Amino acid sequence: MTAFESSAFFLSIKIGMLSTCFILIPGIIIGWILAKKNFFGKILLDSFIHLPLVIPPIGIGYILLIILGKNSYLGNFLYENFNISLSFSWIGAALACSIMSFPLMVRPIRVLMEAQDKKIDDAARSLGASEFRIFLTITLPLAYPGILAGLVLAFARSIGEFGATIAFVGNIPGETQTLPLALWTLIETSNNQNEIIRLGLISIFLSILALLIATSVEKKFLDRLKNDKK
Amino acid sequence: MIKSNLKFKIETEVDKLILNASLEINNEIVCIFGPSGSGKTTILNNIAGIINPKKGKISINNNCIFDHQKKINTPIRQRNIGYAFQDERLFSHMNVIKNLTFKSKDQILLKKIINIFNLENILYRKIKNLSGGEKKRISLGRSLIGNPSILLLDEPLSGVDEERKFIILNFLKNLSLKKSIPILYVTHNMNEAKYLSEKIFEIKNSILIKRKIID
Repeated sequence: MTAFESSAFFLSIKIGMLSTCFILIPGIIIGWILAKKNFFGKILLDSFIHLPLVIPPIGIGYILLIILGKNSYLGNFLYENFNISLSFSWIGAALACSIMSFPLMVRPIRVLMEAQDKKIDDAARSLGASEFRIFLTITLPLAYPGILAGLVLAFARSIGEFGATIAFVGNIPGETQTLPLALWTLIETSNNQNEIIRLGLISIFLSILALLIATSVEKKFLDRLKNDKK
Repeated sequence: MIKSNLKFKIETEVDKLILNASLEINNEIVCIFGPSGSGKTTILNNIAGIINPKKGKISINNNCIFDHQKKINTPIRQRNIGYAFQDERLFSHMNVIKNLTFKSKDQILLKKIINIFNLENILYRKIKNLSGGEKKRISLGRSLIGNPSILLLDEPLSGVDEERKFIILNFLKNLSLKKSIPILYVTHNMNEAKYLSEKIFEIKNSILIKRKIID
């Protein structure tokens, strides 16, 4: 790989990893709420979680820029007090990616938690377990494959993220120029078709690899869950 | 010795029919005998708090845990009930010993149960690799650990071999007497019921009534 390619490649992985870290715990909590709880407004929450799948990514990037940009109240507060500037930084890119990939994180966790036999929770309650203990000792271990699949899917989505990232953090080489942004730069500026194809293939390879892992992990553990129920 | 007891007078729904059940159990075993679908498990689920009666009262050791008029409804986990479910409901991701010690790690009772229920050789096995009879024994064992105030046993020994079954039935009889624990025992097997208790009930015309025993 050239320096240009490897910089975008490793930055994509770094941003993808941080973005999945950001949404791991919120993803588990929201997946659990959607799977196990019934409450007024559940459909609204469900729809809100899925918004990033339907809103144009560039719109989300723009919203982030308004809320967290240096000229915003919150962005200014973070910069003045903690010297944190999210817009035009790689951490901001991870934040944009995490918002875009959040529905993909929640979905497999929710599916596995919904597939769990609710009677098992009753058995644990009859043994004196609190809801928190049931979550930690029953729900979470049984949803582990969903969490793993969610992590990989969210990571794969982050690797491919373009619109929200470019709107919120721009296209700065070495800081926010991930694989899709580097590819876009090449398409805009380079006359070398091979260079563009090479980078395109690297992006596709990384995304397919992540997707394959996610699908096989989810399938393997869903099968196990079915077997356990028999 | 303090007499422990379970008292209930409930009205609950079984397949769109209203079932009336009322009973008082002291430190003794009471059996409910009858065919599937008559509402035996529903009665146990009402006492455990898994489903709520439409009307009525339930008390354990004279503490009210459910009263629809006074709107008392103690959560399941605070009822301190040992419940051996008909469908076992073991935690499939844990091994046998972790299932047994989920409520309490009381080593003395644990050792006794492992011995009487013949579980020594399967303690570290995964639940999915066990036979039906083994699962039944673990489910029953798990319900006994942790000092429950009452025991609800829903066909706990179906599928368990005859020799072991009678060892366990004797253990339950002793437990009820010595530890003063009321036991409500649901079974399909009349021999089992007769061996355990003289108080055998059945559900007829949606009412829980005492069965006349003819030898």
